[in-house]
Amino acid sequence: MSQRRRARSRVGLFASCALLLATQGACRNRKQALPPVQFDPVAAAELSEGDRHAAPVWSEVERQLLANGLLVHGLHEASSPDLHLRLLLPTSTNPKKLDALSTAVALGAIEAELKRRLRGLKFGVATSYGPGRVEIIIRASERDAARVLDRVGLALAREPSDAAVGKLLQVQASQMRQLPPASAATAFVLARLLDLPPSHLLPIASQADKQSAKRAWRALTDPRESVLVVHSGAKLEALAGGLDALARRWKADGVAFRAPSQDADRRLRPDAVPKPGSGHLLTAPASRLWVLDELPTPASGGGKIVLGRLISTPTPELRARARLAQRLLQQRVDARLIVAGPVSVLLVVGRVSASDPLTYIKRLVEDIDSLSKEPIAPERMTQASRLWLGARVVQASLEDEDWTGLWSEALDLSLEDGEAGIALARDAKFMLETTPAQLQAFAETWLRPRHDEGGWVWALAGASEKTIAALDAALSVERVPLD
Amino acid sequence: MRALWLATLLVFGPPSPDATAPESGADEAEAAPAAGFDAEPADAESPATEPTGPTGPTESDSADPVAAPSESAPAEPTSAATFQLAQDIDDGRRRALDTVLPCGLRVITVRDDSLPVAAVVFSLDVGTVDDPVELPGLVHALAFQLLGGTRELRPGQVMADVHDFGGVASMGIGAAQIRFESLVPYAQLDRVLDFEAERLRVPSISKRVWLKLLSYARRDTRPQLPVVKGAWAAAWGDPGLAHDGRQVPKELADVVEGSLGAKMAALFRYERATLVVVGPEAPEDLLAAIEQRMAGLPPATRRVRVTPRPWAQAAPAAPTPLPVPRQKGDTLVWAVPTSPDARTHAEALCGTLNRIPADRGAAKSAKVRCSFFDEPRRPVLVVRGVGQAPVESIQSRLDRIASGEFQALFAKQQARAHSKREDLEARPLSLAIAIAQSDTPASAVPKAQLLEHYTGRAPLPGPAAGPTPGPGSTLAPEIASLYATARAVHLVPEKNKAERGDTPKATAEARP
Repeated sequence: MSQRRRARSRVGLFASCALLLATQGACRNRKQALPPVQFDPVAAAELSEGDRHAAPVWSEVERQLLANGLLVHGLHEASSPDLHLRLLLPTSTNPKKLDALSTAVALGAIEAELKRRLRGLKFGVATSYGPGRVEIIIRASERDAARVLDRVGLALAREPSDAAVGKLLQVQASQMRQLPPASAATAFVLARLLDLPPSHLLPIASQADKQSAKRAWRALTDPRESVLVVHSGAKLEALAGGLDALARRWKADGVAFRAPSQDADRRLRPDAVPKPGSGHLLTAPASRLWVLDELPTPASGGGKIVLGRLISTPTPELRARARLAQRLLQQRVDARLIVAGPVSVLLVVGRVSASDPLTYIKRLVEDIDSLSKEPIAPERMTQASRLWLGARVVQASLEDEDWTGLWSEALDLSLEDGEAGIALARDAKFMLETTPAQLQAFAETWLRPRHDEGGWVWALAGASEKTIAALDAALSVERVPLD
Repeated sequence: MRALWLATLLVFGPPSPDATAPESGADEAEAAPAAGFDAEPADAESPATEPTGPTGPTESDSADPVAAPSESAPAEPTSAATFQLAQDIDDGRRRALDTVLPCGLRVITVRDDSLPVAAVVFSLDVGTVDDPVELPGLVHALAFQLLGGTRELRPGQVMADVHDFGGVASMGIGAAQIRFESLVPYAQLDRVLDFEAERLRVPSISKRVWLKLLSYARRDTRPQLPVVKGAWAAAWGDPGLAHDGRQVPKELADVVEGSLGAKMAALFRYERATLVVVGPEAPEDLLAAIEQRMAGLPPATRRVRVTPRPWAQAAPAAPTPLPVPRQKGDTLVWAVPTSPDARTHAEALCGTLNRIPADRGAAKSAKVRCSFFDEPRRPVLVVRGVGQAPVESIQSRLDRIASGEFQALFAKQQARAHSKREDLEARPLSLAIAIAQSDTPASAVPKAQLLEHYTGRAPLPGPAAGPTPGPGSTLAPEIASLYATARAVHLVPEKNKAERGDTPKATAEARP
């Protein structure tokens, strides 16, 4: 081979090597960003046959008004061996008499008396809180229904003694001393949103004594304000003896606080529906940041912040979208939703960084904003819906197949009793049928703390003085003494 | 992963419907099809109508994977017709549909309309008693390996997906049973049935996943047993009970992948499995959904695990002594038959023993305490006596109960057990688990069984029965045959070091 040919072949070899290296380099260069991949849009998941059965439907619900004014809802399950009772006692309808500490004491007294009366029978008693109410849950055997109802009447008719109330006050007061900052901030935000006195929801702000606790007990145990949900293998007709005994034992006392209603939804909610306010977060008109001072638990670090707002949910579609939005937000932040018919409350809880609290708060607000800004994949919505709906029924099954808990939730998802039977199934249907565009529109209206309709309230608790001072420099801060 | 699967296939071949040699400690026999599947006496509901003749896949039908009924046997009703027949009995009592598929899998389906949820329990008649002597804890670890995925399921996928649906999933590992339990929204039942149809097919095995799953096995809970393991093994005459089946020795980490695959293929087979589904659908529709998914499995003969029956052997002259370190007082341990009725009876008997007053004239310090260890496949009754003549004291109380002296108290305990089982039947997940745990004979043709057949919720004697025990409460003969003190293993305090040479395992092997 001639020299020129050798040179050309060397060049050619070099060129091919360079080309090879160039291409190899492009494949091996991990630092170079890959071109963005555009996936084909996935069609929204169709409702499967199974999705149509995502929630129970109660077509035959019995309603009865007892002689003492108690409203009874009966859910009949043929051949069930169990009796489940759930007593719904509203609290937000009478906030002056039912401050947080007195309500807790009254509830404790009722629970203790029930356990005493039901001894000797197979039973279980528990208490819980719902939107604007407390709930007493009793589980027993259907065979003992008449005796159980009679003894429940006896328990609710017996006013607790001074000694019992005094003891419970001590116990509750010592528990309140350990109130976590997040709970305090949540209660405060809720009270502001619902236009309630802070003492109604915040135990440490209430000045309870034995007399106020007894007043709370009397207000709580007015049968004309209460709703009893019965889930049993027997219909209400077969339980007539027990229900009559209950009504005979547990009598109404004095003048009713409000005109009794035959509709459970109206009994459990205040007459006036609270309206969202106008404040925004980090943008004018800005809501002031409430700082809860002098909590019993010592302040440390950045503390806990709670952001909340009212969402107007007069239709089942809006209630379903609110829940779906909360479930998607929950994937990023600690978001919670309380649904109470025509109005819902969204709360977001966060832990503030002590070193740079403002940056943390801005990031939290941006995380909430993200739902309205980023495209939402339909499969993500379907998965979030299915998880929520599935967990709801599985949880009810694990809790001794008690329908009364689901019924309580169904009442919150409806405006009138007549809707409650299909409320859960309807809620499931609308959650699964919501489109990304609808959800995004909902988020733009309600979940943009800087630019939406307004009405945000926020509170900080458990923060150190240094954190408070840092925030005071940037935001409008108002301290709230709670002692 | 695919290469490993192919290699496994080449070396070990596809799963064979033929039985491999039974492992040590596993008393196993293939049910002779001509005798029917039922190794136990016929149930009370239809004693005269047990099927005769070959009715399912048999060894001789190797050319036809779906065996046709023998021409000599009477024509058997179809599954839907059989169940419809049972439904026509309008007595308001719930029934399960119980059958065996051509692949050997037993399927039991029950309707529960209470909530839109479904409980699915997949159980295998394999447990810690099947551990090889040189590898204790192997079966427990292999049960975790079943969570490691298959060629269609990624590791952990079943549990992860169940949780993503909002459901719950758990696992139970016992002496002679492994269970995978789940409660899911009804909307996702099809997916879970797909998982169960895949669970035992070509499991994925890799060293990395095996070591990871061993770490989970190591963190498994170790329940406190109310009986010393040696006594448990001695009462049943089953040495496989004497070791800690949940231990994870270092040797397990060294088991090679090929050996793991072979072991799993031998132990974990659909013909040793039972699938229980409780859901808001007709039992025959649930069965049809399962049949469709299992149709691709090769036909196999159902394997019936034979449970030891120490009570059926001749009673020795005296209780078998077993010295135990730190034993206080004297304890008698009996094996309890695994049938649901016998377990319920033992529970009621134990409750009665704990509540009857001391014998007249006995010292105040003489006390008897009973506990019933309701392990579904190896239950034992454990009665401890302290004070003077404890064994005689225990015998005396049993005799008094057998004589009917405490009939009312016993009836109350039966009512408690009855109520407990009623609660159990009202909840889909607990019902599915109870059915899977029950040791009841399988049926070659679809059969409608009352739920109490599985739960042991015997009907209570009515007021008209009076003080005389009814047929459901045969105290004296049962106590005499099952709970004679001569049949018991007698735990005594260890007196000196010389007795430590008499190991529980040796004692267990010494019992016939």
